[in-house]
Amino acid sequence: MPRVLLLLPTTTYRTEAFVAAASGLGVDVTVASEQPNALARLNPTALLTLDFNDPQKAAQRVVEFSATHPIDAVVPVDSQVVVVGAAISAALGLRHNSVTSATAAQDKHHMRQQFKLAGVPSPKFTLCSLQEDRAALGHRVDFPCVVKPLSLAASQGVIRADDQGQFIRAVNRLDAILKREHGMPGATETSGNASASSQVGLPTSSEEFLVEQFVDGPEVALEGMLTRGELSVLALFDKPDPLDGPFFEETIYVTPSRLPTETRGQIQIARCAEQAARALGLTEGPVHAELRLAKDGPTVIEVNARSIGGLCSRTLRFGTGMSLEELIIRCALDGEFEPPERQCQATGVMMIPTACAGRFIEVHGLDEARAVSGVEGVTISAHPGQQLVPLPEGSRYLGFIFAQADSPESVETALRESYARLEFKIETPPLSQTTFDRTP
Amino acid sequence: MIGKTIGASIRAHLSTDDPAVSDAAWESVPSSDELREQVQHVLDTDINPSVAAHGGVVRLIDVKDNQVFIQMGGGYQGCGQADVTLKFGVENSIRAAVPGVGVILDVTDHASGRNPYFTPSTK
Repeated sequence: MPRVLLLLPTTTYRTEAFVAAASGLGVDVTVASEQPNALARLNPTALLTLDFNDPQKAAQRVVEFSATHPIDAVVPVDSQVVVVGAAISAALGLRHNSVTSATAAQDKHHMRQQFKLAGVPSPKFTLCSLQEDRAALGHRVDFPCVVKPLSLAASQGVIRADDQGQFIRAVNRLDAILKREHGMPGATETSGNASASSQVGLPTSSEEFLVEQFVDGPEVALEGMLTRGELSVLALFDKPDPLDGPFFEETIYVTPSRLPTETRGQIQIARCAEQAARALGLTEGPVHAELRLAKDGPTVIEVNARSIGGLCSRTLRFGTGMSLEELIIRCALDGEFEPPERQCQATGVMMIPTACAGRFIEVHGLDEARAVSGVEGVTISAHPGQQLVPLPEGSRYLGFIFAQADSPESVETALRESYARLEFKIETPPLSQTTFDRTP
Repeated sequence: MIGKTIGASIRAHLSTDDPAVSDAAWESVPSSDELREQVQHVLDTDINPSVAAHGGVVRLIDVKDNQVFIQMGGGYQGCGQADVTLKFGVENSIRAAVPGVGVILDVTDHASGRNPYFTPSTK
C-alpha cells in the first residue's frame, strides 16, 4: 500500500481535512509535525517529529525513516512547510517543486524579483531595512504604497500608507510585529494564548521589509494544481469586499467568479497566474494565487505553493464529491491523475474578521446564523478565553461561514446575512491598555 | 472496474433479505461490557498517562454494540491536532489491543475547549 507523508504544522487549520482525506483513501499515512505528539511512542510509524526550520536535517530524518517505511508522496499542507516539503521530496527522489522555487514562493522580495525578471505584471517594489531612517525612506517612496513583511501570512503586518506620516507609523508598527514574531527582547506578546507555541517557516532576518506600489482594483484568488508545470485551474474566487486598506483583511470568497470568461477576463487571470508560477520555477502541486484586476489587466500580488488557507477548502468539491485535500493527495501519489471538474454549484466562505482586541467570551446567534437559507455551516475556530488580536498584529480568524446557492450573488447574500446574525462577546481591555489601533 | 464489481455485489446483496453483517460475524464480536472494560484498560494504561503531558485526557463515554464513543478533555478539547492524536494515537492503540471494535466516534464539543494545546493561527 502506498504511504503518504503529511507535513502538518501544529498551528495549521488543515489538520482535520487532510487527516480525513488521507484516511479515506486507504493509504498508509505518516504525519509529521514540528512538535512531538504525546502518543508518538505508541505508533512511531505514523507520528514523526521533524525540525521544519531545518529542511536538510528533516530530509535526512525522513530518508532514514523511509528505509523501513518507503514513502510515495510528501504533502506539505500549508505555506509553513513548503520548503521543507520540497527538500524531503528531493532527498527521496519524488516529483515535487525544487527547493529553490519553494523558497522563492516563501519570500515576497525574492518572488517580486522573479516576477520582474520574467515580465510578470506585479506591483513596483523596494526592499527596505528597518535600520534605515524612516523619514528619509518616506521621501523616496511613491504613495499610496503598501508596507509588507517578507514572510508572514494572512495579511499580518501588511499596511497601506497614503502619506509620509502614515508611512512612518506603518513601518514602526511592522517593526514591532516582526520583533514579536521573531521573539526578540522587548517585544510585547500579542499573538494569542496558545498553550504551546511554535514558530515555523520564519526567515532568520527580521530587518527587511517591502514597500510596494498599491494596486487599485478588485482582487481575486485562483486555486490551481500544477503538474509538470502545467496549471489546471480548480477554482477562481471573487473577493467582493474591497481590499483598499489600511489593513487587508480577507473576508468573503465566492466561486465561480462573476468575471467574464472571455479573453480579458478569467482566461487572462489564469494565464497570468501560470506565468507567475513559471517565473518562480514551481512545477508541481497546489498553487494559490492572489491577483488584482488593475485598469491595464491582472496584476499578481503573490503566488503560493500551497492550497487555499484556513478552512476555506470546505467550499470546494470535485467530481462526485472529492475534497480539495483528497485531490491534492491523489495528485501527489499519481502524476497521471487528472483533477476532476469542480462541482458546478456556487459556493462561498466568509472568514469572520477579528474586529477588536480582547478576550473572546462567547458568541450568540449561531442557530440563527446557521438557519439562513443557503448557509451550509458556521464554524467558530476561536476558543472561549482566547485573546483576540486583530490585523495587522494578529493572524487568526474568529471562524468561518460556508454557503452554497444557485448563484454567486445568492451565496454572497447568504454569507452577509448569516454574519449579521452573529454577536461576539469580547471582553475588551481598558482604553488605556489598548495597544491595537485600527487607524493606519 | 473493481468499483463496478463491488457496487454490483453490494446491490445484489441488498436485494436479498440477508443481513448486511452475518450473525456469525456478530457472534465473534465481544459484548459491549467486555469491550468497555478492555477499551478502558487501554485508556488507563497506554493513552492517558501519555496525553497527560499535554494537559489532555481521553474518556470512554459509552460502548454500543461495538461502537466506541470517546471524549477528549483538557488540552485536547479544541486542540488543532486532536484529529491526529485521535486517528493515529488513540484509535490505533485501541484497535491494536481490542479486536472487534467497530467505529470509534469522538463526541467532544471541541468548540467549547477553553485551553487547547495547539491553536490554528496561520494559512
